[in-house]
Amino acid sequence: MSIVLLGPLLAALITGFASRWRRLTAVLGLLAAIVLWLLLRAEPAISQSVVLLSRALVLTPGLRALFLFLYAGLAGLFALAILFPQGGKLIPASLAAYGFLAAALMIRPSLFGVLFLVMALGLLALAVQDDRAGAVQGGVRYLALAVLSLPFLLAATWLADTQATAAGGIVARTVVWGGLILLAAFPFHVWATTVVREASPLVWLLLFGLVQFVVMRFVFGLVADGLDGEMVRLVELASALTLLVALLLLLTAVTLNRVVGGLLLADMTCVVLLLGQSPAVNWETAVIVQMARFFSVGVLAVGLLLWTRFGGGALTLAGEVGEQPRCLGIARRAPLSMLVLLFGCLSLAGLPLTIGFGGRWLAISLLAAKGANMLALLLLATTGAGVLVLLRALPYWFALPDEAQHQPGEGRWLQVLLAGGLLLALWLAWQPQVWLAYAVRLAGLFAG
Amino acid sequence: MNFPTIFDWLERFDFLRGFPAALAVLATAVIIVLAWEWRVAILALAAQYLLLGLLYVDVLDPRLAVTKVLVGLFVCLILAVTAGQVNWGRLPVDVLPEEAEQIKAEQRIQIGPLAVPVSGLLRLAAAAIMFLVVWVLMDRAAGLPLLADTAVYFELAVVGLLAFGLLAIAISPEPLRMGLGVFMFLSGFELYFSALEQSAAMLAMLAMLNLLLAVVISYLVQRRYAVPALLD
Repeated sequence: MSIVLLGPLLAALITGFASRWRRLTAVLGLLAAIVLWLLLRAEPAISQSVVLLSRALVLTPGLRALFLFLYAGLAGLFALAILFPQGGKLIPASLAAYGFLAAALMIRPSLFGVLFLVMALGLLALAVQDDRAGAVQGGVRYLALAVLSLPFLLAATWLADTQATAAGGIVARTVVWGGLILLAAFPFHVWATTVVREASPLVWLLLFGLVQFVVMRFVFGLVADGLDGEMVRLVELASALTLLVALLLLLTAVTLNRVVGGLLLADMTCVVLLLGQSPAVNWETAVIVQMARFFSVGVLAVGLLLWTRFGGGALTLAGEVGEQPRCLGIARRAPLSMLVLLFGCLSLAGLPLTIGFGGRWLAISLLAAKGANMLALLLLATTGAGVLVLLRALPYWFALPDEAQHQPGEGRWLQVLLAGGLLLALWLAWQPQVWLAYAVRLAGLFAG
Repeated sequence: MNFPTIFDWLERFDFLRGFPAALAVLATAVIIVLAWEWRVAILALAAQYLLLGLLYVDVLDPRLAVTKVLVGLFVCLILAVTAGQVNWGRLPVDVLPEEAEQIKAEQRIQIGPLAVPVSGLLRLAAAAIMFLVVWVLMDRAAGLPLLADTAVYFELAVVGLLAFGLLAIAISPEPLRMGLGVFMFLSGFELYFSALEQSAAMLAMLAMLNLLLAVVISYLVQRRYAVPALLD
């Protein structure tokens, strides 16, 4: 049990000392994630609790399954960090944050869990900034909004712990506000768009693909009895406004980061909308949406990191920075990187025949069944806008490049690897039951 | 000669307890929002923590209340050391203004003997509006949620700190000033929450949170003013 709490902190210390050597740090981080996964897997698969500092720590089968997924995801992220070296803070900060996230989920009463959660999110601000001189807005906003959510979550858990049955309605009302902040609903979406604009794609995978699982677990756990009509209307209003912002970002995008920002906002709004659904379906659907997002952002991150390596970044000539049009004809010299990037973006948009379609379709179906047709239409519109903006970029990406420009192209071995990865991603998309079954089982472990 | 105890200090500053402490806390909050000089803002935060101690003793045991004050002073020390390391937001001594792309001297307006930054006037307007908001909230609200019969000065301090903390977070793109807003906001919430939950474990956890945030904010300040960022 203590390995779940202290193991990541020790690993963070070791990788922090080695942070000067980026690839070495990534290798150490990967080893740590694998070792922690194996040790966690060896923990008995029964509910158990220990007492630490006079507080009970409970490792339920559900939490154990969640941690196994999170560590597997972290190992994948660190493996990518070996191929695409990041700054010196991503790996130590991620590992340290994982220790605090584990404490947040395991500690009873959950009042203290909120404090550990905010501490973890504070440490993740270091991962967002990741040693890039001058780029602090993402970390600053992430930190500020994490602190802003503290009063709501802390008050809600205090009520839940001390007044139990009498305070159910007030708890849900209070936690919704904390949830809207951490799930990047309007007007608190600014942290998400700034992080996407500033941070590396691997940081997106960490924050939006992995950490959001824990945030979701907290928020959905506190609204286990559902929301009243007024709170449902608030959730729907915030979601509608967020989707409009996402639509605006997509329609005015000139850079890929802006496109990804819009797509991520729309995807996160799916989870926000599920807060207003009945408890019987909301958690399971949220896990499916979140898992689909993890895979989509993973593919997108690989595509974008490769894309950037070959000089890409803009959608049109208007979005180019500097005199040389780096994206002109990039699809001709890096076709498979472009395909991986496109697949990731379209998956995040929730297009059919991609990994992200399952979760998006479930969310839209639930909204339509409930009569929230306008919201369902807005969600569809963001999918359409995402596809449109990418189609608009294709002529520029496929244009004949200037002969005088000598820019790198994909090597043969890389193309073979990417082709294999794409086939795997396509297989996951066309055989969704493979990962859906796991998502449903994971959600089921938290029921009751 | 005996060193004064906590209770001796409380007795000595008893005249400040109640409304004077709450109004002084509000005044320090306004100073933090308005001050363009980092030293003044950090000193105001330190004074705020000392004054908050007088409010904490109304809801906590004095020995726990003094812990809050000490944590606050440590936070101010961390921020002050960091601010000093980045030359209080100004250019390092070995970097010429022509070399630095990221930090440009802000336009200033001469008001009497003071050269006031233009943003200072905007802050003044924002602070005045927030003051009105606090006034209206105090006038209309039926006390703090979940707390019955709290003193008016207590409510004023809580609402004022939350409001001005939010304002400082919203109008400050710069990490140190945003950090001061975060600590003000947290102070307001902790003051309120101390009336609900008085356990030593919660106090220790909140202290840990404050110190962790101070370290993170200090790191962000350092990266904001890193020399490569100034020259890029």
